[in-house]
Amino acid sequence: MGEGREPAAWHCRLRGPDGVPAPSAEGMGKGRRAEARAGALFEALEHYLTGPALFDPAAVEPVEPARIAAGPLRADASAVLLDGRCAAPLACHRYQGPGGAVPVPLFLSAPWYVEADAARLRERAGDAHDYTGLMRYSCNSGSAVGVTATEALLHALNETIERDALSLLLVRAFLGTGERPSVVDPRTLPPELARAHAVAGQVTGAPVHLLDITSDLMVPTMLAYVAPTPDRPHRRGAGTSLSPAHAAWRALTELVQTTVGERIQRRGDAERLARYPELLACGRFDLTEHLRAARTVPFPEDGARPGRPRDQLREVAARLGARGYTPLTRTVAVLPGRITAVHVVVPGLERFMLVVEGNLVLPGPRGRAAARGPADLPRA
Amino acid sequence: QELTEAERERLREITEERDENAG
Repeated sequence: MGEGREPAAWHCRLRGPDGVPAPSAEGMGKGRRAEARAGALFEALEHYLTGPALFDPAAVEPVEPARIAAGPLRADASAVLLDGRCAAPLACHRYQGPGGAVPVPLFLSAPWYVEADAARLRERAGDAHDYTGLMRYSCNSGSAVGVTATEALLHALNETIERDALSLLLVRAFLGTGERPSVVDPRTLPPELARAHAVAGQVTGAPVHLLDITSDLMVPTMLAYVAPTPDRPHRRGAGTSLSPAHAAWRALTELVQTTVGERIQRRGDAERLARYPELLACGRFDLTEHLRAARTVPFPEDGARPGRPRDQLREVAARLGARGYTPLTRTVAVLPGRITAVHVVVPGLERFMLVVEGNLVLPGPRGRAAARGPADLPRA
Repeated sequence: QELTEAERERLREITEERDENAG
């Protein structure tokens, strides 16, 4: 896709031996040609391995809502719905935390599990919980595949941090007293990023703003943003990496990918939030006014090279730990050759970004603290 | 989609806090 230019976007669909497309096994990739092709293949693999085809009802355990709401997930925005309205247990997988196993409800990471037509799947798992409200908070964020478990965990943590940073930007801009975003001066971009920025502008046909949205977690996070018009919603791409240059590359290439992918990817409609004007503003994600008051900042210089995945994973976990956040991890599948699919939850980090796809969700405690003002967020 | 009563209360608190801070 994208007419052969670089950065490129590729789409991948996996088929079974019978030639029939495998369930959920589609993905998109971005970046240089080989990088985009590999990315599309790995994303398709991720969606297949974490999707309904490999769901094992025997691998989940029923856990009462009150127990979940009293555990580490009490800091999740969805905990407000575990208030006893439905006492039926929820199907949970066991995740590994520093203190041992922690049950995490499947709905958090598996939208396919809460779809209206998935009643039989839930029945097989012995799950009679009412997911009418909780399905709004369901999202596959934090899932990743890597050539090793370490690489998969690094991708999953970076994605979780990226989504949290985007969520905090939304909260501050539209539920707080305003946000002065930091916009990178495009004249300060290194040559490869300057080229990617120019291509993103050509592909979107609009000004591309590269925002530094790094949060208190101090893992560089970039957002490539195109404001909405009366004819179409906003466009965006985001990236997180210990290397600011790699974070910016991922953001700009994701913007290219999502723009050329618009004809095959279905987007949620934020206008469905019209009954709740404050949340509709979040969903529309129109930063036009905020950008007029933006700070222009030079592109941040890369410090020491991030190093091997193992070292990066240790560093990212340390930065989370410094703010009081602890990842919970689950190995979803391991293929011959060590390719590994994982899912990561970091209790307390925000997933409010679901609102831009038309999901009716609220921020959790961290988002609410961010809305109160520009002061440093409290530690978890 | 509809917010529950508990969520509506939370949204009300968020917007009231914003209005107080803006004032």
